[in-house]
Amino acid sequence: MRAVGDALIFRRTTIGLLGLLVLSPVGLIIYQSFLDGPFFFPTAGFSLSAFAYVFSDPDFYRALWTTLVFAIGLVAIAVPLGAALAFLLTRTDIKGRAWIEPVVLVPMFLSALVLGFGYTVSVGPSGFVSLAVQDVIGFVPWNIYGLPSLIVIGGLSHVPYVYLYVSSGMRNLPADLEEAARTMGAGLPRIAMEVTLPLVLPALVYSAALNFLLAFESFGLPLVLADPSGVLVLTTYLYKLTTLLGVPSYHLMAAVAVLLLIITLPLVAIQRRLLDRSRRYATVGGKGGRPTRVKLGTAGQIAALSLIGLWLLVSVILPISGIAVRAFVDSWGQGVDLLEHLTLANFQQLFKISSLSRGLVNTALIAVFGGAIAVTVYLVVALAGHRNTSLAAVALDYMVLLPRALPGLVIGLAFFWLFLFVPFLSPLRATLVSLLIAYVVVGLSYGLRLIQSTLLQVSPELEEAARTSGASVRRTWTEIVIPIVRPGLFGAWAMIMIIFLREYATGVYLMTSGTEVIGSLIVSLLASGDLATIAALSLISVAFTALGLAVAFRFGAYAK
Amino acid sequence: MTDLRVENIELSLGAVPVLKGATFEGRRGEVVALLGASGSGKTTLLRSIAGLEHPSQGKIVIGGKTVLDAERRFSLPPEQRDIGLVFQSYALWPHRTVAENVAFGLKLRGVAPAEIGRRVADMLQRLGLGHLGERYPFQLSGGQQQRVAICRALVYEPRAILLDEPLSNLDAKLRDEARYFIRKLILDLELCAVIVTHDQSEALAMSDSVILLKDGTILQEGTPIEIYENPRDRYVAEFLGSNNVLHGEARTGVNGAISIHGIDWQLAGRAQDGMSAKAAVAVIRVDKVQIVDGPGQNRIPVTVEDSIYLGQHWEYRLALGGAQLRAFGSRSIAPGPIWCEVPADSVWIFADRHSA
Repeated sequence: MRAVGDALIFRRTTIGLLGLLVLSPVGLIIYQSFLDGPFFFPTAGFSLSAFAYVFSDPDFYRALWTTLVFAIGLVAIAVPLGAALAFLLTRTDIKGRAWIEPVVLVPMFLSALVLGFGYTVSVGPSGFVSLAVQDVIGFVPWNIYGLPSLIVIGGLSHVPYVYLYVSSGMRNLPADLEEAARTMGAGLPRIAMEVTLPLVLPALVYSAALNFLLAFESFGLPLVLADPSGVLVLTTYLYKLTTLLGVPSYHLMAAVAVLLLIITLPLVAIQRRLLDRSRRYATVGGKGGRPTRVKLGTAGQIAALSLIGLWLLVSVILPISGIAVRAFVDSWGQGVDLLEHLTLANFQQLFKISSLSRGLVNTALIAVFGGAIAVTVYLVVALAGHRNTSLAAVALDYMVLLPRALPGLVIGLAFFWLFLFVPFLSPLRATLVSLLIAYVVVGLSYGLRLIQSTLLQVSPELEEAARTSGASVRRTWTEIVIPIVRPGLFGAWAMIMIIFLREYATGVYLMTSGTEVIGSLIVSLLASGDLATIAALSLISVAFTALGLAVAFRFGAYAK
Repeated sequence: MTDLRVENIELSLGAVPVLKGATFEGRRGEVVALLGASGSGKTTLLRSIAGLEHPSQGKIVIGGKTVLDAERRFSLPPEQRDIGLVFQSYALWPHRTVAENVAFGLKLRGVAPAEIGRRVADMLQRLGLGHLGERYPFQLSGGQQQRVAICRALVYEPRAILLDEPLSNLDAKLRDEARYFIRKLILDLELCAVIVTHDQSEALAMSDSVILLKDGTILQEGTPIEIYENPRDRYVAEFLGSNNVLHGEARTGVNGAISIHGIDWQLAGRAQDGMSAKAAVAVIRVDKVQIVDGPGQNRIPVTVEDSIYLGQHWEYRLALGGAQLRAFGSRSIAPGPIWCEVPADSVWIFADRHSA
């Protein structure tokens, strides 16, 4: 029996409103997929023709197969590398840990679109690195357009996602387990392979599942690296459908989105179960105590540091330096002396063209203020589910999975439809409100998890002490819980800020005069091939992200 | 006057019954101790009184106000029950100073700020914390934190004060001091107090009434003296004190006197649970066993196996057939045969339900 005064009305209202926010776009997509034309056409009727078209399109099967190969390849590269990195940084006495640890996470915070573009201008056919190599050996020994390079670059850039989960698993391992192996005469590789890795297996499996999902939802890298050579994945296939038939082929896009959801939703559910299990696993050990670290020796140090250095070179320095160089020159190509073409014109351009300068301002606004609003929304939702054992809390848990299973591109599309055709919403379409709502939904599962875990750090007894002293649930939240978690909320705000800064796919369909953001501007500029402007935008995006990271570290937020 | 009445509380976690019908009363100026091993349901019972757990059955009345009536599906939330709860972990709010921690309950009750300041200062003064009001909880020692937690629960004069293992996080010396001062404070303020503890000496020293719980059931309730010196249940007898346990056969004499018989020994005793079973067990407090020189009334022959020096006294390890006995004495005894005597009053005979 539940006592009265448990803020039931607040909890139910909040969860209900969230349900509306999450289920209406998803519902609209599913509804649209069963029509034979755009849902706002009076002639549109119920039909399976969209699915029939997609299932008879050889391009769809090719995209599906490519996505699968891409996902498997990405996991095969990211998981071993991420695990090795985690082992080196948490369990050995590797030099320079203090600065390597934060740097390792950087690729995760960069927008995949910016990253992909960075590769095209550094190691693309006329990239500055490619040209330099050509000068020396006479030809370029690689081709960055196509599935193989997409897999390699995708794999390298997803290493941080593996590192994050595996390293937190490894930090919780009691060091005596490894010490026991050492006293029996096991060397470093043996310890890693036979003691450490099996113990963090749940974290490894979880990060593999996570990366598999991320590969299915990946849009920026395939758009930049695979699309030019005609290779499509599911998301880019969906994007290309936009204008396939001359009229907006919404029903086809919805059908693809539904198919994507059918693939990703089980992945998300599995992943969630794995995470629960790995958490349970991690709490078994971890009796505290400083871990003693395995000694690498000189040769080991050199090998480990060069491995990390090489990875950083390829996945961070190469693309970003490409962007930096390209942003400051006006011409580019074989035989061009870059020093003679140094210019600031690319940036001046940004301030001359109003849509571009608006994009910069909008990006900053949506990240800083939108991020704060999003954190507030997530906090309210998290409180509604906080120490809530009712069915509504279970519903909340599952609702949060839905947006996780949809790429930002599709969520943006669904909100675009909603804002286009729901009468009282349509005036908001050309304002940042539409974008903000879509962003809040895109960031929901990550942001909510961030805040839920912060709330769980408040011991239940602190709340119970307030209740028995005479405080209502609301009073307990406002006077005890929220003040205690305040630092965590600022940390969450910084993290959400970075997520919103790097987001590009959600804004693609919502972009109109007034709702431009850097990411969606780059997507549209890619079609026109205005490399100089893209480079300038990308560099500013990187700078924004660096600022966001600085704020995050200031608040002591560690990516979770 | 009865300030707290707990009637027939039942509570299950999933399919596991945690409380199976607990009933007791507490009066103003009286301390009730809920004593039991871990898993006995004592903390759950306390939390049910506070409204932090939700019993499926039963009724709770605090200060004349019904706060739980499961039959009518009525349950007041914790904040409306007018109680003070002292947590085992103290649960001091880390973002508030000592004074702010203590003031919170008064603030919630709409007391005027000047009045709050006065009452908080009074309360802190009373517990010797007058100079610590501006500190934060992490700046205090464990003993100080505990006293702040008590101040916080008492300052608004609740109808009942509930203490959940309040001494378990203190070191041994502080604990002896604290159990004296807490009891004195409760009696001085004429409060109705319920304390949960797994420590028998704490329960005996602090309370007017001890309730011994096992597996969610109250086994015995009584004054500390009653429960220690006249246990009505084998579990109660063995839970308290330091004991010898002898298995044997119970026989009733012509005059109704009961005795327990082993292979080559017998002891007259007291039937504590009115049992008639033949298989019996005798529980004898270690300090009631006297080493003597020769045979006599209620004496049994034993073999000394070892003498262990414990500081205050010596402990003897004695063998009686296959059974082991312990006794205390003031000197070392050489191994070998000897006699020991137990007063019949101290041989508590129970039915042996778990006879091996």
